[in-house]
Amino acid sequence: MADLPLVSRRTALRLLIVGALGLLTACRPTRSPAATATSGSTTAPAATGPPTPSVHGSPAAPTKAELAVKRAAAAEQALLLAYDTAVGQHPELADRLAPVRADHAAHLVALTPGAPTASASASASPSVSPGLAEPTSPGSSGPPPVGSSTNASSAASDQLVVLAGLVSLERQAAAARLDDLAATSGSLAMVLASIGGCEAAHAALLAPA
Amino acid sequence: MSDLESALLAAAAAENAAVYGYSLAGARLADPHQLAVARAAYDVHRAQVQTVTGWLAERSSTPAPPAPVYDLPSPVNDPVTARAALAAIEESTAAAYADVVAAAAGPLQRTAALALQSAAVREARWRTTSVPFPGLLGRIGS
Repeated sequence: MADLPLVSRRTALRLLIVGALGLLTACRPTRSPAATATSGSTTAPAATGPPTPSVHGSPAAPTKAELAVKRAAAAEQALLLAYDTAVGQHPELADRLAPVRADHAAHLVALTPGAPTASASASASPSVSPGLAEPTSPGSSGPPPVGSSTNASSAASDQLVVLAGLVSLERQAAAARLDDLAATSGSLAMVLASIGGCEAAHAALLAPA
Repeated sequence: MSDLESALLAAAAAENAAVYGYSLAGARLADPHQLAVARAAYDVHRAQVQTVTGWLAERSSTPAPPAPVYDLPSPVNDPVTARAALAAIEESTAAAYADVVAAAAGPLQRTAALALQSAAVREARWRTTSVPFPGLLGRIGS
């Protein structure tokens, strides 16, 4: 494999994304004429070009590509929460789900330029909020039922339901990235497509054989 | 030559290399289920050669014919090394489609992204684990 000296994998990837996002923001007006008039010449950064006439209505309206990135980042956050919830309910799934969760944490970091690298993994502790638990586990917070054999089998089937829910979420995410990338091109489109590929792979690996 | 045309030519070459790789590495698998999976993947790659060739034809371009021999990404002499090579082959096809996604728009971009997803699924099955950014591994230095 080609190696990039001095640049870690993650850093290189973030550069790819930040570059793509930077291109996005450079292409749209950053300052409305009204804002320029009121603020005068006090804070305009040197790199800012001449003010662009505001023909698109609201001055800071995000572009479609920026919205696509925001949607993708929000989806990664939701997936991280879903995995935390699943592991909270079924600690025995922790080993199996940890690498999948790590992928989503890497996605979120890549989609959040400027965020501290540790932010996505800092929330890794399974501090699950009970209100967000999957709607499939009645009694998981109550006292354990008596009757050990039925208990074990219902726990196993509940685990299958949780996994099926995650598979469904991953499939939805992979499909949503296909929609998102339509508004993008270049390296940003490539990254969104790759994230979707990872999510499709998660669905395949977590689905029953 | 446009970025899109060169990406499509590279995708055709990657698919031809995948067909070759599956015919060689796939034969080293032992498990009947894995053999069946490899045969199905071989068929997918053969079909994708035709699909990509069609995309090129719409742009008045023609891919190079398949080479008689391709370098496998890694030596193959048993089922374990076969799986590793097949995973790397799928990563290469995913990477080729990533470049098409970057250069294309509209339905072709979406179809290429779907092809990337399929390659990522097969890659993960051979590895028995996922990679966070399928198709981008080579270019981010891992």
